[in-house]
This record gives sequence, C-alpha cells and structure tokens, in this order.
Amino acid sequence: MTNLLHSDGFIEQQLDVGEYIGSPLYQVIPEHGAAFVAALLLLAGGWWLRRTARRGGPRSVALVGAYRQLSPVHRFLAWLLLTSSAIHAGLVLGHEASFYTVLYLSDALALFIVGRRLINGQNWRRWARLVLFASILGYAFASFAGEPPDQLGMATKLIELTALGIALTPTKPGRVRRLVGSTATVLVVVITGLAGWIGAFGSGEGGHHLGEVPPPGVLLPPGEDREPTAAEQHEADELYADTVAATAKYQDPAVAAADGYNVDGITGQNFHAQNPAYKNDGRIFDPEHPENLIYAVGPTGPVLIGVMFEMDNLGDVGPAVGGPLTVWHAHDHVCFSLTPPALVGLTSPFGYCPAGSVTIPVTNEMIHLWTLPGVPDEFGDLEDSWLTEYLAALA
Amino acid sequence: MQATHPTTQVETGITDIIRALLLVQGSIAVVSTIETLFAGLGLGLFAIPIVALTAGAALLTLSLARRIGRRSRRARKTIIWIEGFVLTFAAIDLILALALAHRGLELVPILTRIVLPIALIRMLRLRQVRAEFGLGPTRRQARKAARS
Repeated sequence: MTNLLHSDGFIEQQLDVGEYIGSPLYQVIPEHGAAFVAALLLLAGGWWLRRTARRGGPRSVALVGAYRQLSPVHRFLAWLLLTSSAIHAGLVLGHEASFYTVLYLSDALALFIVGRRLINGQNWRRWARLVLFASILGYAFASFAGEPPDQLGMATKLIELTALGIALTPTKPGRVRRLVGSTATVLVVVITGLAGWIGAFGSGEGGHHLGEVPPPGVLLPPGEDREPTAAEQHEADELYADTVAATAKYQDPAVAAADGYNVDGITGQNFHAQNPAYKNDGRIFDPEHPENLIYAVGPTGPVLIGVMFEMDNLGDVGPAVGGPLTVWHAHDHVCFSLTPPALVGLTSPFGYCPAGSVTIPVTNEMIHLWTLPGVPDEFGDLEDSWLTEYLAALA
Repeated sequence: MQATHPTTQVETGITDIIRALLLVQGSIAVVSTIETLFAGLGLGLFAIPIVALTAGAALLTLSLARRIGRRSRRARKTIIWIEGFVLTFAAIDLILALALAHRGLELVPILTRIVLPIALIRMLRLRQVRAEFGLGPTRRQARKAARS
C-alpha cells in the first residue's frame, strides 16, 4: 500500500501497487454502496407487498390494487420516483451528518411522497415536476460548485430525467404543449450533462469524498509522499539534459519526418508526432528515441515543445527514475473515432462516446518531458497559459 | 406516404414509455454533440464528420421520439435498427474493456447503452405494441398464442 501522487499534492487514500486512481466520474464512490442496497431493498419491498396482497393483507391489497389501476407509463414513473427516493435514503445512511445528508433526506421524502400520491391517484404532476426539477438542478449546482459526480449520481439523475420527461408530457393534446415539454426535457438533460463535466474537471480543488482527484481521463499510479532524494534529482536532471540535447534537431519538423515521425498536419498547441518504429522497440526512457515529439503552432510555424515517452505494453509500469519527479500516467475512457481514425474526446457523464466511435478503456503508461527553456515543470503537465505566453513572445 | 396510426390517447400505454426514453436518449445525443464540438476545436477539419454524425444521431432520435407518438411504422423499424447499432458499439466497448482493462462497463453505460436499447427493442416487439402500429403478431407470438 502506498500514498497516491496527484498533480497538486498527495491523496490520502491508499491503493495497492499496480492500481490507479482515476476520476470518480467513472467510478462509484465507496460511501454510495448503501444506496445500491436501498435500491435492491425497494425491489424486495415490491415483491413482499405483492405477496402479502395475495394473502389478503388489507393495506397491501389496497396499495397493489391502486398500483394496478395505473397505466403502464405511470407504473414506470412510480418505480422511477421510488427508486430515486430509495437511493437518496441510502445516501443518508452512507454519509456522516452534514448539509448534504439533510438534502438527501429531504429529496428521499419528497420523491417518496410524490410516488405515493401518484399510486394513490392524487394530484401528483405539479409536485413531481417541482421535486424532480429541484433534485436535478440541485445536483447540477453542486457539480458547478466543484462536487465530483460519480456513476451512482449520474445513474440517479438519469432515472430522474426520465421521470421528468414523463411528468412534462402534457395531459392535453397539442403540438405546442408537447414541444414545450420536450424542449424542457432536452434542456435539463443538457444542463445535467454539462454540469457533470464541470464537476468532474473542477473537483481537482477537492471533493467532499476523495479530496483532490485527477481530472476525467487521467489515471495516476501510486506515488510517494516525499521530496526526491539527491540521487533521484540527479537522475532526473541528467535525463532531462540528455533529452533536450538529443531532440534539439527536431526543431525542424523535416528532420523529424526524415527520422520517421508523423509530422504531417501539425495543428494546435499539443500535436503529438508519433514514430511507429519506436513504438515497441524495447527502449524505455531513451533520450535518443522518444516515442513522440510534441509540437505547438507558434506565430512563425511549428515549435518543438517537448517529447512523450511511452511504455511498450499495456500494464507495464514506467520506471520512475527520478522518484516523485518522474511520475508516469495512463489515460482511460478515451473515445476513438472510426470516421476518420482520431481521438475525439472522453466518455461522457452519460456513458456515451460520439457516434461512430469506440471507447479505449485504458492506454499504455506515458510521461511528458517539456524541452522549452524556462518551463515551470520539466516533467508532467505544462500549463496552457504559460505556453500561450511563451508562443506569443516568439512573435 | 408512410403508414401512421393516429391515436387520441395521451400518456397511456407502452408507447408513451418508449417516447419518454427516446427523448432522454436523444437529449443525451445532444449533449454528446456539444462535447464533440468542444473536442473538435483541437481537431480542426478532422472533427467535421464526427460532429455531423453525432448531431445527425441526436436529431434523428429526437425526431423518432416525436414520430413514435404518431404510431409511425417506419419510425418503429428505424428505432429498432438504431438501438441495434447502439448495442453493437456497446458490445465492442465491452469486449475492449474486458480485453484491455479486465473489467466490464460502468453503471451508467450499462443503463444507457445496454438496458435502454434492449428495453426499447423489447417494448417495440411486444404484441400489444405491434398492434398499436397496425402490425399483427410475429410468427413466434402467433405460435405461442395458438398453443395457449
């Protein structure tokens, strides 16, 4: 077991060597396990009610009878409302008392009451819209505030969004009414999806469960919560100096092309030119043969800004020769388009990649080394703002 | 002119569930289109086909949500095809996840890319739903009915 390195510090959570820490967007936060149990208990409760109704229990007979009077869509809606209610009740059990637990409890009660009203044939529609809007937008606001969404949270919002879609279906026919209801549903889904992204990327400031976490799509290996030793610092300095010297010739993309790097169509500020011949050549962290060169388009043309070393095989752990200075990382949930072949983003909070693309679940480990003079960090991340200023100064 | 079976029923029957699910699925595709537009900023011209494809999928799904309410047979068939594509890509992702990461899909993709398409196809193939579209039972359903 070891501490985990993070871009801004160290995460207290511990993992086994060989495991990664990634964004909660693609995980279920451990404290949310009770919510799963609560959802399963709801199913068990439904089965028990049906059984007792068959045996003639008067209250069960009345409840099951009322449920059977509902149309299929309203039965479905009742299950959606009660499932969300059960999940929120489970969240209360899984967390220590806080402002959030009060919100979870209120949500659980409100959703239960609306579900009950629906089954009992009482006026439910207005209340359902109100409670569902509040629950969904509350989650969106929490995400905008930097709370990292997880798989359970997004699944619960999906349930609520579907329920809202039904609740917003007008009772009276009419194209305008239907259009308004549909448009409202689309808007709320879009807000929820964008809030999910903002929460996931903004959670680097510290969430209420895990503290500081990597952004979506980044996997960090176990690290060491310490300063580098003198030997590690020396190794890192030597590797850096060797790489800068060995790759200086690639300032000219034509030289890189002659050595086998794919420099065609250099665009943007983070263009990776891969050399297929170095991809599985058995050489690791070799300053003379980096697997990728990184270019940015400056005011006078392409500028070599760094290199990216890559491990040969999936699951191979990169050698941290500089200790905490040279931390390798991998990527997960990367969307790869087939039309044309290209990386086109990350799996969305709703679990989709763009149409016609597949999800690469995990990549080989890699590490960036930035060769520009005066760069703030020689290894790891390069701040966009610093690079933009640097390139502007070249004009 | 395509065959439709107008109904005066509002919010009753399984078709209303199908419509609601399609609306959510189409909205998710709208979110994907916005994401792809952002991702496309770094990709330049490469992004055009993928943005067009994702936006097209979003518009088609939302339009099908509307048309299914009018009991359009063509819409019913198109939905079954589209959900088949969604399932195919989910299967590819599942195989990649098992092979490369030694794990399955997460909860949300299971819901949106497996449970949702299967539920939609299943509901559209139900005998009573087929009847709403003016279609008779499938051979299998007819055999089953004859036996019972």
